[in-house]
Amino acid sequence: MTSILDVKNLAVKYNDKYVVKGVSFFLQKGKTLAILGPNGAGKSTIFKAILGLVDYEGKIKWNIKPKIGFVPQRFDFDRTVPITTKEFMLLHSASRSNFWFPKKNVLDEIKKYLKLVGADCHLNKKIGELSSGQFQRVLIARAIFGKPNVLLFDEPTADIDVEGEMTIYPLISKLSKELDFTPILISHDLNIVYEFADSVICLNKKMMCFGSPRFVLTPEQLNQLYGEGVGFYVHHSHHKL
Amino acid sequence: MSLDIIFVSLIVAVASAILGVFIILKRLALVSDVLSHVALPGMALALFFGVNVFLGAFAALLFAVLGIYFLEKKSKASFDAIVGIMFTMSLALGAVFFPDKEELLDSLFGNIYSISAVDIYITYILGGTIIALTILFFRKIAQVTFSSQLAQSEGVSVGRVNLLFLLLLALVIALGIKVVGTLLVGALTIIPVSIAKNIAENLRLMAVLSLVFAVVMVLLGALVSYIFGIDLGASIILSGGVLFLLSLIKVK
Repeated sequence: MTSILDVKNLAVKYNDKYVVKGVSFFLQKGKTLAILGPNGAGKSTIFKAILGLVDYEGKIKWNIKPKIGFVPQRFDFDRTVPITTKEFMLLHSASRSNFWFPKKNVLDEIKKYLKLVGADCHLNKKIGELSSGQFQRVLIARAIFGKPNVLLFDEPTADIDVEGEMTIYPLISKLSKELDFTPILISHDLNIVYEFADSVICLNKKMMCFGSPRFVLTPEQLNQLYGEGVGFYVHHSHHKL
Repeated sequence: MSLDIIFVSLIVAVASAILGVFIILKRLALVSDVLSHVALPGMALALFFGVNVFLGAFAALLFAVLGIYFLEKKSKASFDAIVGIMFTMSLALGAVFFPDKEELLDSLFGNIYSISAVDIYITYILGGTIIALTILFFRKIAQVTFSSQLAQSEGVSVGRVNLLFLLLLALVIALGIKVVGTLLVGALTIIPVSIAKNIAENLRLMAVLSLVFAVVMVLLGALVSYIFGIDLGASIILSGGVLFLLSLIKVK
């Protein structure tokens, strides 16, 4: 299996302080990678480094020409701005110059991607009026609209309902096969990592493990990652370990 | 009131409004307000050396937007405070260096009646260029304005687009100063868009309506100014303010 991305000794500093350090991993085509760690562990920072949004030390080497789709964790905007889902999709570079007078084939494509994530009914709704779960799906549609070969999915902050969160990971898994992209997921949720990831990076400011979840997520490792005893307590009550 | 004066006001208002769309999208309603103050010391220096005041204003604004551009790249937490201090200091510097208090008053509130033939041509050419460039790059600027992170992941060179936007903003403010003055020029960028935002059902309509309201504001202002003999710049802004209040009724 060939590696499409090799990261060696990645480190990122904010204000002269390392927020992540010593991160090395590789990404295999078609295999889901998860980044696991508590809040503030620097998970999103790794995405920012991959996207070139922050300065970093170390190496990020692509062995393919990357086309990245990105679903950010937070998306702050003025919810009173009247921008529709269709327009939000048209803002993507992939729409080319079709913003003012979109061609039928571009609109069809937008509808197709919205349908794939189950958000086609929101086409003409203002995005400020969507629920956070609905908007999350629109963000995924926008990310796949660019026909990415790698999808960076940052877990949504707490405001998404559990039910919504539970259906979004199977959706990404299904899409990755249909549309042939390799997903990297950020999660703090062990169940999701066990169920959907082929390999996992444990992160708490520095990299603590990398490998197949079944082998590297030992009770000792989890204790180290989340602190003593936390292995028995994971965020949602319905989780079984 | 000559037709030229109306046309100059129209082109400045329309150019301001179309850039204003991004100012509202970025939630930076006060930026053009604060930014405009920077023009004052530039204008004072221009008067002192006997160069065109527009050039002085634009040079100072250019200096300021480049400053913002580089500060934004560094993105330190105290950015707001530095910008605030820099801009109010410019206002104070302007007040100190203005050779003549009458001219200071003109710069603060605008005096379109003193506009020269050269200024009129400058406004037509630059105003037209701003409008054309903004329409041409509308999607890209909106993409970056709405989320620079997404835009970057979608292959846009965010820095370049931001710089283009800031340069266009500096130009439009420099032009607007002649019409409504440094204190009111910010209003030209935000009032028409804010009215449109209250009414429009989508972004494209909001942009188009912003231009429509920019035109209505100027024509209404010209009428009010003609009938009541009030200063044109102030009448334009006041007309816009009244239209904005009316648009709130729709929101409720």
